Amino acid sequence: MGQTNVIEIRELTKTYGGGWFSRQRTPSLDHLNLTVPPQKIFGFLGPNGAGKSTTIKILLGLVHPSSGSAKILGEPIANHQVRGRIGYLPENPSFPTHLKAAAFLKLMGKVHKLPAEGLDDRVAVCLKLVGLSDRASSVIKEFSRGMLQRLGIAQALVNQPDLVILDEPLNGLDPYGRRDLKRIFLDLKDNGCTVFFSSHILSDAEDLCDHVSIMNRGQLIADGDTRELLAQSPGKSLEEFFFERVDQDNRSRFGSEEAESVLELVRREAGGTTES
Amino acid sequence: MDNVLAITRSTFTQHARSKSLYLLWIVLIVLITCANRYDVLSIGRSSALLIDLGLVLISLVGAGSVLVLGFEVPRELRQKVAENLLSKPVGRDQYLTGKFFGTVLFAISNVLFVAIGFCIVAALSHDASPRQLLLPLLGVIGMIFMLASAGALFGAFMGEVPAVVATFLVFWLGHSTQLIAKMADRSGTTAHMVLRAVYGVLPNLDLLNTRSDLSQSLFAGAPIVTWSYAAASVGYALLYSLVIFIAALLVFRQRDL
Repeated sequence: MGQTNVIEIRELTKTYGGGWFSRQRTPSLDHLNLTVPPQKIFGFLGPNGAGKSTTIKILLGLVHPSSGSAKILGEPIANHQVRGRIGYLPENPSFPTHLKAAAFLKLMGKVHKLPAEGLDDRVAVCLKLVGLSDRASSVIKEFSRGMLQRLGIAQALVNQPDLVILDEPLNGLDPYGRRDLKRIFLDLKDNGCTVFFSSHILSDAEDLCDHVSIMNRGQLIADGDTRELLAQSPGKSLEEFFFERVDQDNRSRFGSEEAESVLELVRREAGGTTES
Repeated sequence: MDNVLAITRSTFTQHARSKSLYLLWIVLIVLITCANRYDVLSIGRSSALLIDLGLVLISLVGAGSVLVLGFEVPRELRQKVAENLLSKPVGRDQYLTGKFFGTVLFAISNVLFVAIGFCIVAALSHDASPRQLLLPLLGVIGMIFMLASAGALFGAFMGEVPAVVATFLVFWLGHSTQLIAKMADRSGTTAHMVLRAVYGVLPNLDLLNTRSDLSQSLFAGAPIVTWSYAAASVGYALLYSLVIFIAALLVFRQRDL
């Protein structure tokens, strides 16, 4: 794959309409520029409403950008065939509840056009990787939230992707699940895969990420190698660095009064998720 | 093509596992079986009544089965089942086409199941021949395609409940097209234009509904529904469905998921 960036975003903008009878437009992404280098664990951070999920959905062709362009694995995002080399886990995933876990993964394998002969083995490997081997024959509707998350990770890996995009993958996982997922991330990276994930759990992001980007209200406010970024604020954790940057950005863009209210909201959200 | 087949199969299996379906089948068979007890009420027209009732039920089963498509696509979008699938190398057209054919197959299999049960009852208890059902059945299948395409169109941009209500309205108004045409003829200029436009846009399900013609032909002893008429009406249904389904694909391509 060489050293070509796996994701290249140029001036990406997305505004949502306020409904059929409203002229109000809400900006979600504002001229975003971002590059993701290969074979790294890349943390895509930001408070709620920062534009993380919108960016991810645009990259996967689920949402149409208002302007700008993006390439993924060297291909324009409009080319849906490139998604055969990508694994994706949506936030709060849901799967066809009538299927059994193994049957669902087989369906995902077929959609990825994996050869039929090795598919059963690949499904078994993925289920083992996420600790669901004993639930291969269980119907998905019987799964707990954490098991759904594990199954979601398994389906994202079934095609042995070059790039894994995960939206809040740590949500719903117990400490064992989080530990296992971190191990999976590191294994993927060792095998040449790029892991791009969004998260509110900043302590885990600090442990895992080679590179982080912080978004706030549709704009990129910090981006770089994790260690280099933290060196800019010596002695501070990623969480402290995150609050500092979001705080600065809110003050500079929206003034002190509104910034205070936004900050309070951000702190409450981040506090809630870091405690979980 | 493989993706469309995989989604079609998954959609069909999903619908077929619905427990309410078994209850529906039992109720329908009981209703049809009871129809041969209507000798007195029908004043000697029990054969026509049985055919009429059977075809109404078959038509309702077809419509009810296909209404789920209007519900299914928005539900899968809301629950992110579709988001997960469309993040794979699956085109939006492939997804919607798979959903469409999965639902149409499900509706047709339901209709055939009830029709077979109905034919057995008819053959056992009356002089009505199962072959007489063939032409009206073609009309029901045509209606299934039309409603499925309408469901796909509404599901492509509406929420679950509005999409199902809109599809049901198409079913209801589609059976009232002659009435709309008469109302247009009796209305003033503006209302005439509006009603004529509605008449032109709505699927004319009356064309496909040969139920009453068939039961009358049984009574009169003369064939009213012909193969050429059935072929032309089904041709119309398929063409209409194709146009509406293409519109559904275009809308679905444009929407944000």
